Amino acid sequence: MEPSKLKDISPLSETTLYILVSLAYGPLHGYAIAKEVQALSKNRVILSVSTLYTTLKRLLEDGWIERVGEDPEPDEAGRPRKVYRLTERGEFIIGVEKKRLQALLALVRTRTVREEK
Amino acid sequence: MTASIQGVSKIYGMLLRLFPRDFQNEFKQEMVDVFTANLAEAEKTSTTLVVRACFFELCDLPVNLLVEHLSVLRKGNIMETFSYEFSRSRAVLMAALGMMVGWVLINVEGQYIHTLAQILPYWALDLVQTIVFTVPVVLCGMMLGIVAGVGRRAFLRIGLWAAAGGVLGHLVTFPIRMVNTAILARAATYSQWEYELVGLLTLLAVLCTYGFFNGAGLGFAFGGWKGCKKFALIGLIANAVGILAGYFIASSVSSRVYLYLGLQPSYITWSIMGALAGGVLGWFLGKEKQPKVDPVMQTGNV
Repeated sequence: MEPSKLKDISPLSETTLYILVSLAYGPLHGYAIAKEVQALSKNRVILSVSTLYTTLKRLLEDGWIERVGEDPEPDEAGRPRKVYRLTERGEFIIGVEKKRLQALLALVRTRTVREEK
Repeated sequence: MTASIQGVSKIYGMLLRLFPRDFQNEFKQEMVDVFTANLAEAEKTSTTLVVRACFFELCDLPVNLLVEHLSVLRKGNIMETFSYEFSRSRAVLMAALGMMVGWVLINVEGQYIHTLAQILPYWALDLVQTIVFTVPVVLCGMMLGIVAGVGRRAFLRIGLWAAAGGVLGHLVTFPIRMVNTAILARAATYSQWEYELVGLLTLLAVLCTYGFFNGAGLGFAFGGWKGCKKFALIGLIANAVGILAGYFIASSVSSRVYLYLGLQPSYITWSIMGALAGGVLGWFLGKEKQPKVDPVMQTGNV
């Protein structure tokens, strides 16, 4: 991906990053993604259904995630649930964001250490 | 799952109809299912949690609705250009009708402005004025949209860009209107013809500037930047011609109406000026219908 395009996508919003990371463990359906995000953030980030799906829509359009059929286990109403999976592009984006955050953290650490000295 | 949760889910499903159609088609059922699952889980703990979940969802919904609608507009519908073709006669008729109705509405609003000034604060009054002054161009755009046979969504784009042109025109003409107010305040020092000349020149300056920006807005809606330049110039010419010709025609008509009815309704002046401005705009934008050419006759192969 071109560096100029990377500038446009990074930094990711917290919601986007949590959804991508939740899918990094494996494909999940919408409800499971919401629960996973809640668990990963230790109940700090609770996604409303509309936020979840508007974000999923954007990620699908950008090709960062994809739909992979339906969950064999249906929901309470007996309807099959659509499952989402991270694409290679999505994994790449997580990698980019990880590097950015690491660089930022390193900078903060260096600065803090200097000030402590 | 209790009946109350099913009821709430149904209401939520209805609320989701506010999302753009494509979004609904793709996600609505899934969203209702997840929402129902959330409520069912909350119900296991306490009723308070169910209420909290609903409230949380309701609070988040408007923002996401806005985001989704804006993304639809951003995604081409608002910037996308489409090939338009107006038949000249229809364009003249419809644009004239749109402008005429719009200008009459401005006139009607002008008659109630003093009443409104007593009720509304200054900023609200200015807002009303700004909105009202976008009406002719928006109506004209809609009418041209009908002539061009654009899709339903395109009307939103036309309305938005035309309104943007109208608002910009209103803001830009602010200094001219201020000068006009200052001149009119000293009306007693002018003779009748000087007073009328100043009035006409100011009206011309204001409405030509309006025409320019209104045209630019319409042009952007119909043909992107290229259309913007073309329509802006046409808008300016249309308003200039419409005002000059309309002013003299209207003066004559108004005086005749006054002779017969003892009334001098100003909306006659405004409607004639509006209709002429719209008509000129439509005439420039429209194309003459080309006569159908028989391909056999054209090639000479009888």
